[in-house]
Amino acid sequence: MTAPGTEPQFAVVGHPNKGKSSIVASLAEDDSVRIAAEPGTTTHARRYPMCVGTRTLYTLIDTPGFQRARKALAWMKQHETTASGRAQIVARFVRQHGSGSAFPDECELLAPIVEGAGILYVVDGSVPFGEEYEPEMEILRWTGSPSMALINPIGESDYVDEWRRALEQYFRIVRVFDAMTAEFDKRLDLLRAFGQMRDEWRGPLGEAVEALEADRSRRLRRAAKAIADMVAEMLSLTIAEPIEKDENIALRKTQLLHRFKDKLRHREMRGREQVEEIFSHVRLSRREGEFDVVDDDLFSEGTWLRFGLSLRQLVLMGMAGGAVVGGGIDAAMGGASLLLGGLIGATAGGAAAWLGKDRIAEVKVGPLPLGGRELRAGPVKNVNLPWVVLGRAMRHLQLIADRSHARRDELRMEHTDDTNWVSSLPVDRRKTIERSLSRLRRGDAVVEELADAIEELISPNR
Amino acid sequence: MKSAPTPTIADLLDLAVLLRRDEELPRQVLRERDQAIASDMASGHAGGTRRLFAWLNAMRDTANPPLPGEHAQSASRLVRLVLALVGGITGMAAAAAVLRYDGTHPVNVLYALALFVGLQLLVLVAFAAVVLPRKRFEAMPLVAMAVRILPGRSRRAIEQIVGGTQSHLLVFGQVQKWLLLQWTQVFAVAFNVGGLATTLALITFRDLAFVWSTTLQPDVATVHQVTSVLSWPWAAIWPEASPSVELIAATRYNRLTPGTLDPDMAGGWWPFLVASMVFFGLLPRMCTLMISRCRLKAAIARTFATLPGVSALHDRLEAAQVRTQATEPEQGAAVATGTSNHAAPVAPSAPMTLINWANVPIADGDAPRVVGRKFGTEIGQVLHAGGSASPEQDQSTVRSIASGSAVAILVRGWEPPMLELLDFITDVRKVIGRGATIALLPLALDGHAVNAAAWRSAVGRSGDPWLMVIDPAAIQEAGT
Repeated sequence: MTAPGTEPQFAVVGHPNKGKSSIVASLAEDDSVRIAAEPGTTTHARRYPMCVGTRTLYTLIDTPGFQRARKALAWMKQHETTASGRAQIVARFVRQHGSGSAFPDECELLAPIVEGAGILYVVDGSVPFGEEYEPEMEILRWTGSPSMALINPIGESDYVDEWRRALEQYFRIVRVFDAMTAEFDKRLDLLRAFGQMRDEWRGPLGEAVEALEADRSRRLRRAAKAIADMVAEMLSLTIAEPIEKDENIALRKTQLLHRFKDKLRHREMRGREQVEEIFSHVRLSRREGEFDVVDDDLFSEGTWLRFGLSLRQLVLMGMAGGAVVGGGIDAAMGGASLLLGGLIGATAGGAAAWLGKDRIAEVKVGPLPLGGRELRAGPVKNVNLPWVVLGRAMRHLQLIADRSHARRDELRMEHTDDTNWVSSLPVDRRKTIERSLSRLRRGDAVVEELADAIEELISPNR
Repeated sequence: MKSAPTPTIADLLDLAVLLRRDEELPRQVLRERDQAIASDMASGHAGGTRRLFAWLNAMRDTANPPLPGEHAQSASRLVRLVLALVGGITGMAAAAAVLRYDGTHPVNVLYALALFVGLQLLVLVAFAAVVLPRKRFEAMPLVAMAVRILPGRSRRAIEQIVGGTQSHLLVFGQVQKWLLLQWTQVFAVAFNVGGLATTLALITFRDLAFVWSTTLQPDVATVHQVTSVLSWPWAAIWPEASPSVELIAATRYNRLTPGTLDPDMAGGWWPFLVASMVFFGLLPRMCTLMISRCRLKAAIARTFATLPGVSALHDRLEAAQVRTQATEPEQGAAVATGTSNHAAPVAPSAPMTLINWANVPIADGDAPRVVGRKFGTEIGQVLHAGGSASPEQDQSTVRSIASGSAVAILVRGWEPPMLELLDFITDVRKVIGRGATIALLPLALDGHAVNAAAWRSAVGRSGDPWLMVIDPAAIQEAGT
């Protein structure tokens, strides 16, 4: 690792409960940050180094909030000699007081600044400016460190302009940044702004932004691959159980089919976890046995209406498959069938697709390789299931990719309208995906091809 | 950079077992474990397979229970040995049977050719048919036979490779196919080696006599044409191994007119027989064995890189390359939630002192009216503290409060309770003494709810039984 302390460091400071930890969680993509409505949740400074390989490009430092700013400033003013010595006074304040003194929080937050960290001062833009903020802004000005103010609008009200007027008297750069809703591009913008605080920080922050952009592309690719793998595995899933001669086959078949569907649900859940993992949402997992992702069941009617093929699309796809078979028969008969083979095949294919809409997989009895019999369920023959799975996965990815790591609420897969997902896709993309799915169903190894198609949906402007 | 190592059956099985075990572990555990492994990896492990190997080697040291890969590999070697022994013995027995000559009935060379050439060519065609399309290999009876004679542990290891159920086939299908083909070709090569060795031994140590005989009654010229075609591969290097017309004519056996076999010609077929066994038996089988071995290696490598769970593992290892998260755990305990003295206010006997902390935006005239109505008492004086006031000014405010007075402190309800305020309350307590009420009145702002829980919690943690928070709703009500 690069020697600690030589890279740009940024101490995130401010009043308690103004979203400092939320901003750190959002920028560091770390959902382990302790965030609560209770003020004083952060009691010690915690570092979040941004590393590429073994190099640290910058470090964010989350700090506890000011608690006794007026008294701390009063002490500093008491020991002030000249304006040029103010930074040393602050350093002396930190040295003289410590964790056991009356100013543990002030020492904790000022220590990294005294060691050269830049200042990110965070305020809540949804509450009015108050005179109690001025002592802490004054202390920060005394440090002489490069600084930026971040207005984090936590609530509904808007006092941003009022804050901006007050903050511009103390800070060279004032930005608005909503930790809960800031997407990836906005986070990068903020990091670029960090680089403007000092000339020598421009390079490392620029490099960090490039690395994060490249990492973002890799994550989207990995997510596309994870989704493609999931679809391929679900399409090829078979489960089997050995059966004895005197067992009730019909009952076992029903039970096996239930297990099969549960396996599909489980695989979908694992796929979602993998995507969450890719975007560092590690704690968005089951908590006390309950799912943190609220969504309809994979096999619910609403899900299939929203994400599956429409009846017309199903029939057309089934007909296309049937017409190919029928056309082959016509060709074999040298056209003597007057193309009736194609028509009959198309009708049969369409009927089969429509009738098979609610059937996920067949359950059959087969021999075991080393003797005995077994019940086998799968693989999936249903043409709609991969579209449903893909649609749900894309929706989940869309929500996860830009979800702030400051959020602690459950992920709700809410649907703002009833638009069918497949119908909303561009025709050429739909056809590409259908080609890949058809080949997957035949057992061809085209996961990469499907991943490419998914990546096109995620990042159409790449 | 050196090329990536080629995974073996042992590597494949171990990786599959480890990934299966990972399905039961929490994601956070996997993430932390793999980030630690990734940070220990040398930077040269950029490629996918190399990275997998590095991870596998790191995991093998600590795997519990131990991984089955080595044992399975040993079991596979044992199966090959068994099949080779069985194949060799079968080949020897087959050669001994078809070349049996007790001095009375000469050996019909067509029997030997049918077994060691004709039958093998047919099986070779079947091999080609199995190799080309991706279908499951059906030569299970041979493997089942070999597996049954193995000890229990080896049999279970083979079942792990072969897969007891169809569900394995979709992941390990190609590996199984080429593994089974390799085993069958081991048998076939051993069969040919055994047959050839026995044939050479019999030719060397016994005086064999060869004839050819068939009910189909082809003429000598036709037979010569057939043998010439069959002799083409070695005709240039071993001309004596191509039967001449004279040999064919002299060694024709007819049961109706047996005649006398020319002793000089009797053994003349042996070069052709040996050459046929080598070129149509042994060499093709060695080729199919090599093909099976190469395709098995390729199938293992492909499956190694695409096992379920590998993609997620790569994600975790790659994520360690660009990291932004904290490297150390959060220090300190979470803030304890205190229980507040959220009691109903007791009407004080004397006028209360009202302190406006940090200049809450309420007119001085309104505040006494609100507070007085709430407590059913008069407000004696309105003081200011906090905000832009200095600490010395706060102390002056405290000193102006009479001992025993009840105090109400108006605070900005939308802001969190700060230690500076709690310090001030401690100073007030010292002046007014024990038993006197201090009531905090968190005021709301239009559109801003009071963080009542935070205020109650801070008061609860203070340990002052006469300090209370007035419910914001009660303040609102009193103000109307």
